[in-house]
Amino acid sequence: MLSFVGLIIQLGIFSLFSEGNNAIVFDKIIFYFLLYAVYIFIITGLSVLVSSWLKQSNTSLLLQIASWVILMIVLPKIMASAGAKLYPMEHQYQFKKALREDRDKGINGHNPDDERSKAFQDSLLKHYKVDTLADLPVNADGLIMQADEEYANMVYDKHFTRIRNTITKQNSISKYASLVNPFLAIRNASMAVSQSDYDSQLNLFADAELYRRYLIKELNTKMAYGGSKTDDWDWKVDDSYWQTVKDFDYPKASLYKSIHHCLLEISALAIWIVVIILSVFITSKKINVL
Amino acid sequence: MLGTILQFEIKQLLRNKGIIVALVIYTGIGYFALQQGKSIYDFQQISIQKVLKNVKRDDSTVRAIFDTLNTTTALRSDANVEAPWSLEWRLGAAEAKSISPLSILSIGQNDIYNPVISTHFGRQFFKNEFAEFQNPEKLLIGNLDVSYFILFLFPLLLLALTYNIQSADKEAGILPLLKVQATSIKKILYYRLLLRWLVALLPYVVVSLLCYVTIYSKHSFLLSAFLQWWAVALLYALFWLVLVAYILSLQLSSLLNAIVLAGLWVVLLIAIPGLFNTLFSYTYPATDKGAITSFRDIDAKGYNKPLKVHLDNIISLYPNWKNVQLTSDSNYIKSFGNTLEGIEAEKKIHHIITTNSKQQTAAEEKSFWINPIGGVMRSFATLSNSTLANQQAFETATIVVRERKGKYLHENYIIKPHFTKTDYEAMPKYKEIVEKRTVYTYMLPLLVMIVILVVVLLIKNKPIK
Repeated sequence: MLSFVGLIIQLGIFSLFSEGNNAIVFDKIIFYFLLYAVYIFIITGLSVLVSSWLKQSNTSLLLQIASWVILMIVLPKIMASAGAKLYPMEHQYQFKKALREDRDKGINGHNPDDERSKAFQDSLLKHYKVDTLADLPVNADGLIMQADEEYANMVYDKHFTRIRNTITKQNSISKYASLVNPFLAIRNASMAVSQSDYDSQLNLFADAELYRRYLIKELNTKMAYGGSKTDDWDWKVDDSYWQTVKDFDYPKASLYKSIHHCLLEISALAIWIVVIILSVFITSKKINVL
Repeated sequence: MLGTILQFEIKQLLRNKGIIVALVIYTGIGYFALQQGKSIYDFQQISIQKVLKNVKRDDSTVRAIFDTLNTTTALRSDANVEAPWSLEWRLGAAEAKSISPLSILSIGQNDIYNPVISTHFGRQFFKNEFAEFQNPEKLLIGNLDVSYFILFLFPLLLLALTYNIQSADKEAGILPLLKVQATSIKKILYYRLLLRWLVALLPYVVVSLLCYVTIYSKHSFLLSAFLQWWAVALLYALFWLVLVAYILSLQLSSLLNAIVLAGLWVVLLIAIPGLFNTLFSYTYPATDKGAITSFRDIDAKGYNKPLKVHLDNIISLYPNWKNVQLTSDSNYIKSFGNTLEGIEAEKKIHHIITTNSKQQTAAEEKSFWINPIGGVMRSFATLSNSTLANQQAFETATIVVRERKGKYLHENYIIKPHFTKTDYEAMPKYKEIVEKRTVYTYMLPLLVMIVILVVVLLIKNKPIK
């Protein structure tokens, strides 16, 4: 009960002092409270069970301390290390080499003499049925840069997805370990609710990257179809154009969006509750108080 | 008498399968910790070897170009190997930190530092182009290395083995029997404590041997440093022996002994270091990244500045050039001006960062009198060359060589008609800055604590009830 009181005070203070963009939404506060209430229940339940199973109080204490050290300190480190060992991270030089090889196969948007850029220019001339780039009704430089951008996006997506997948696989070890270690379950679930976990960071990266791609495409499209001619690198847009460009917006994730990737951890906590309740029930039947 | 006690205790311990299992598990964790350190060391060595191999290959290529270079009549061009940017681009200049094999035992912060940094005069230091990918979750949890195994796990084993060596006899009702023995009961208890301490040291000994076998053949392995490392570990183990002896001398019940010793473990290893860490992160906040972001603009906007601004900057450093007819074109005057300005700005930011860390380190060293375990942690990292100070010394050395090279190459390009192989060979080389620190000052607080506890134990000659 004391733990619950402490938890309520902590959340109360936090919600009082958080405002504006930092204000935490009510459903997340409640969920956060429930998560920790469950965790405290599990720890208390385990403690009671160990005390009832062991006859000597000092042995019980020792076992509980040892369990705390193993579950809170040793196991998370072992899981993280095992993940890194099972799914080793690629060296940066290997990554760079693979990236460069794929990148070199595409158009170089900033080099009009590049072979693929020339082929792209030829296709434009054919499409618009003109003989020279100067006769094009569009700015070929904008189109080439966009083609380069789209190819580069494909290459970067391919290679960065590989790195992200490695990290996800490494983290999956501690994710599965949360089934036997409630500390890992609460840690992952709590980070997800607070959006301070790796997946939330990936969401931010993904949204920021989408915005960057939108912005670059807007600029290249404007350059291509906005009235400038090929090779006119000094052409500028006016101020009013920038009013049409959307700002980056990163909306707050809903509770479901925040926690949907840690359903395993939440299920683990639920399983722990069931196991604790059943164990307490069975043990209480067997124990002789007198 | 001692022999009899030891024989009896060993028999008792061997009967206890739980202890044997615990010792095996501990040794297993120690081995795992060693492998963890080794995998990080090997990973870094592969990166370093790859980069150094490329640097060596590029050096041979450039030398071959110089061998066939005609410097008698032809004027050089920008694409020529003689031009600063062209030469450095061909060289792909980079330097690697010399990583001590002892970092296998104490990873310290080595896993997050770049062991390779570009020494190209025009590459931005803060771009970290050789940075490896890191898993944020792994960084959050930290590594389980041998130093962690010793600092955190060894005391727990010792506490579990010793918390009731005195109170158990009392609680089992056999204390009166022991009291009538010829040898003093205190002596029996101290011998027993010593034996349990030696038993707790068994995983230590096995892991230390495994460590030796793993690292003795590594490049730059020093037996003296290895022995110093284990001497620190042994002193730390001695500290826990004395601390346990002191708590046992209070003659509390087994339960209270366990609570007090576990509490001390939490306070000494988690609470105090954690509180100091929080305090220092507030007192010495990390350098504002805005400064680094603004600095990047210098590079981007440098070429937009008028030639005169760059020229004035160069002349202020080279007053003799005022009346000299400079042979270089305006692009290289700008390049030189930009290089000088960029490196100067980098040096300033890096100086702010290192000064901040030095102040924090000095404050941390003072705190070792309250947080003696911090001194042990620092000693491990110092002996393993895996401290922040080591990394910053490496970074400073790369900035120094970049500045010297940038100046040398541009000076030659601007003043001389040709840059020859002799000039290439005289090009400034990277010089390692060795961060020499002794661990004695870090270990002094722990030593003093051990002495105080021993003195207290000797003075306080309370009979066992």
